[in-house]
Formats: sequence, structure tokens, C-alpha cells
Amino acid sequence: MDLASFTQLLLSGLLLGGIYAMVAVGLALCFGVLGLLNLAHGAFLVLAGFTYQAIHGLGLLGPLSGFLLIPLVFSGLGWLAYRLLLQNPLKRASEDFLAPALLITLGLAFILEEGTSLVWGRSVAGTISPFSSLQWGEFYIPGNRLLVLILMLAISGVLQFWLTHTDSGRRLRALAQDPIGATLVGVSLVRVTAVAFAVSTGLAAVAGLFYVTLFTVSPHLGLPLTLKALFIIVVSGSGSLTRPLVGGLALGTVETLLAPPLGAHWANTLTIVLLLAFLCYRPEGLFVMRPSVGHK
Amino acid sequence: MASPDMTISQYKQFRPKGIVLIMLLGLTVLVVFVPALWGAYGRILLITTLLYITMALSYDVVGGLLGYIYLGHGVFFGLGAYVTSLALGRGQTLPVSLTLAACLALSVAALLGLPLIRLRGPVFALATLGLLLLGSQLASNMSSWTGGAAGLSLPPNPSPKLTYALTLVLALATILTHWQLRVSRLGLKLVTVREDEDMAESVGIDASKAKRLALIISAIPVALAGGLQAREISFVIPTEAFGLEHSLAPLLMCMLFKPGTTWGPLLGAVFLTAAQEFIWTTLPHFRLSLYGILLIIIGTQRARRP
Repeated sequence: MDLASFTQLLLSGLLLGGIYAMVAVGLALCFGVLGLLNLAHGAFLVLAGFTYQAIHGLGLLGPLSGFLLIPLVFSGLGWLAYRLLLQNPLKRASEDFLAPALLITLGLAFILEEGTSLVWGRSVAGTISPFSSLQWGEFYIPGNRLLVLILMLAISGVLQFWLTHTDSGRRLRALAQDPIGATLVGVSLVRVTAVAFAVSTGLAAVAGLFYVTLFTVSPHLGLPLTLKALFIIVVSGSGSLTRPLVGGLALGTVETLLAPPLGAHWANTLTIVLLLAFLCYRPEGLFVMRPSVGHK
Repeated sequence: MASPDMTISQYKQFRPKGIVLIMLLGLTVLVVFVPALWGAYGRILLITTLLYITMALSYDVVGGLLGYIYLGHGVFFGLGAYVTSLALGRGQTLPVSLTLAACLALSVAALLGLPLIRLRGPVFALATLGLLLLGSQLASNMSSWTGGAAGLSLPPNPSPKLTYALTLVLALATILTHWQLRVSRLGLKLVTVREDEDMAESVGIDASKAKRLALIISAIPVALAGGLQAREISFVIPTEAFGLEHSLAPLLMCMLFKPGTTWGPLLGAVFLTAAQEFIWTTLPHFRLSLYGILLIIIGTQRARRP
């Protein structure tokens, strides 16, 4: 492989990684920071993609207003899902809330998946992206993927600022570090978690909107995508938002670089093997709540 | 009542053996005669029920006695289905093919157990879910063997009666194994590990060994069930054989009533078969939602447990 095509692959890998990172960062807000496992993340993402496509197809919303409105609506949905389904069980389970959260969100994922496939059928091709590609020297850069990457960095920056420099962000971190201590000094576990869940679902919707402009979306994509994002978070270490960002970019790059010698199918398989191997090698990487969100 | 300082033989005396024997006998009679009375539909329904009972009780070894959230049960179902189909396609008889499937399941479970026992809780659940995804990808990637995403078709079943009888024997054997395992040393070790893994190790239980054995014991019946199902429907594809359903249905059946007992998963299996049959005939598009609702109920219930 010559240098030019290698660079091109590297570029496409990074740009693909942008999407992975976007899925992972949204999930990391709940899972990495609060330890609340949300297996319905991908289902929300897919639903947002389909909704955008349907509304866009009807000509009701332009790309810009769609990209602003749908994440807001989905944040509301996430908040509602938390309040209705998760709030009471998690409060009751106090310490060991991972297993109930896993089961309940998996159930939610199925209901959302079936709802999506009932309304929209099997699979829908991606919408035409409103952004054209760029030519930079001899390299070719898809405009929407570049936009994903830039937006991704911007969103991570905003989230990191929120976590480190605002009161509600500090409450979230306090809860992540010591739930009992935080509750003692007056942080409302329920309210803060609901906000985190809502923001996380909103981010899933943003990722879904981009996903539908980049790839083909099917209703059954949700769970595999969630799993990939979870692996990214696990492997890159929880407790921070910058790490899943880097992890997502790395995964996209590895997957793209492995594709030409192995074929796309085997590259995908090999990344799963690598992630599983890492998981078994460093299982403790998962729930070590390093108090490192923003601390240096 | 059973108290903590009883010996195993004292503990065993509390178990109502008669009731279980009568139940098993009744089940056997029912199952042997129903197809004759009820025709093809009854046969399929009973095979499904028996396979579900096998899957639920073998799941219970890891999901109930050991108390892990285990999503890799479908890996062994798919493995069994593929090995049996490949062997049958090369002209082997059903018993030989099933033996091959069981042997392979044993070795794969023993191998996978090595890294998996290091994991606990949700990490274990995630890793096993990843294995399921891996299994499905391998089955569709190794297309020269497995026919890829299009799957494998088998020649028509030469002796449906044999398939039926083996399914019945497998279900009965799994029930008896579970029944015995619960009060065996290994079963009690597993329950101890479930209650407190660190404590169990501190009183001298080799938790890693117990967990590996549990994985192996749970893998073999479900691999055989996979093989028998593949023979029954004469068809196997990656998305179905390694589908999430074969991991989730056992979890639901096991957790629905009382995990860690023999009657709980048994009843769960009968209930889920009936519920699925009802959904299929009345609201065919709401099958996943049924799973979803049951999962939410089970998760909520689990949180309620002290």
C-alpha cells in the first residue's frame, strides 16, 4: 500500500470513528460517569434517524431545524423513560442497580425496536446529505463525515465544560464519585440522573441524525451499535468523556485500516475479537470510577 | 425448614421427591401420547416446549444458581445447531451428530470459561453478549462451511419419531440433572458464590473452578437443544441460530418465577411457550415487545429483592 492510499484510509477511518465516538460519548455520560447502563441508547438513535428521515421526506423540517428540534424532543423522551421506568426500581435497588438497569433498558430497547420496525418496515436507505465532499490535494474528504467529527469535538467540549464548570455538572460528578456523600449534602439523585439520561438520549438522537445521512439504517441496528459503543467505553476506561472520544476514533481507524487486507466482514469480526480480548484482559477497567472527570 | 448448619444429606430430605417423580411421569405420558391425539401442531408445540424447558433449566445453572446475568446461552445453541447440521449434511446419523455437538460445546465452554470467569456482573453480561455477536459473524463469514448468511438446508428428516424421542429424553435428563445439581456440593458452592463471591472464596470455595464447571454444565444441554431444533426444522441460518432470542428466552424463562429452583424455570418455559403461541396467533408483530415487557417486569422485580 502506498503512502497516499494509506493516508486516505487513515482519514476515512478517523471520519468513521467520529460517528462511533458520537455514539459512545452520549452513552458514556450515563454509563461511564454515572455507571447507569443504558442498552436502549442505540434504539433511541435508530428511532431518531427514522423520525428525521420521515419528517424530512414530508418536507416539514429543513435539515437545520430538524437537527435542532429532534434532539430536544428525544431528550424529553429520555427524561420520560427514566421517570417512568427506571427511577423507582433504581432507587429501591440503591447499590446493585446495574442488573435491573440492564434488564429494563434491554426491554425498552426491544419495545422501541419493534415500534420502529412496525412503523417503518425493514430498512431505509440514508437520506441525501446536504453537504458536498471536499477535495484536499489528492485526498477526498466526505463533507458530512468531517462535519460529524467537528461537531463531535464541539459537543465533547461543551459537555466537558458542563461537567466541570457548572453546578449541575458538579452535582453529576459528585454523584458518580460518592452517591451517599452527594445525597447527604443535598444532591438529588433522581433529578440529576434524569437530567443525565435526558442529555444522553438527546446525544443519541444527534448521532442518529448523522447516522442516517451517512449509512443505511435498519431498525435492528440499535443493539449491535449500543454494544460497540459500550465496548469502546469499557476499553477506553470509564469516568471520562474524552477517553471514549479517543476510543471511538481509534476503533473507526482500526476497522478501516483492517478492511482492505481482510475484507470488511472479517475486519468487523476481528475488532469484536480484539474488544472481547481486551475486556477479558482488563475487566477492572470498567467500573473503576476514577474521580477524573475534568480533574487533572 | 432448611437451616444453614444442616449437612447435605439432611438438606436433601426436605425435598419432596414424590411430587417431582409424579410430575415427571405425568409429563412423559402426556408428551408420548399427545402427538398421536393432536397431530402435527401438537407435536411442534410440544417439541418447542421441551426445547425451552431444556434451555431454561440449563440457563438456570449460570443464571439462577450462580446468579449471573448471562447472555451467551445462544452461543452454544448456535454452535450445536451448526455442528449438528454440518455432520448431518455429511451423512452422519442424528445421534452421532449430536454427540459431536455436545463434545464441541464442552470444549468451547471449557476454553471460553478461562477468560470469562474473571468477569463479574454487567461486564460478564456484556462480554457474553459480545460472544453471541461474534458467533453470528463467524457463522456468516465462514461461508464455505456454513453457507454464509443464506444458511444451510438439511435433507428431510428420515425419522421424526427419533427426533421427538431424543427431545423428550434431553428435557427429562436436563430436569433430573438440575434437580440433582441443586443439592450437590457443586450446586451449593454455586449458590454460595451467588450470595457473596468474596466470602465464598474466603471459606475455601474455588469460585473460578465452580464457575467454569457451571458454564460447561449449562452449555451441553443447550447445544443439544440447538442440534435437535436444527434437525426438526431442517434449516439453519446465522441470524436465527445465533440470534439474541436463544439467549433472552432462557433468561426470561429462568427469571420469571423463581431462579435457582427446578420448578421456576420449568414453569417459566411452559408460560413463555404459551405466551409466544398466543402472541403469534393473535398479534404476530408484537413478539419482541412481549420480550421487552417481560424484561422490564423482571428488572423491576429484581430491584425489589433485598
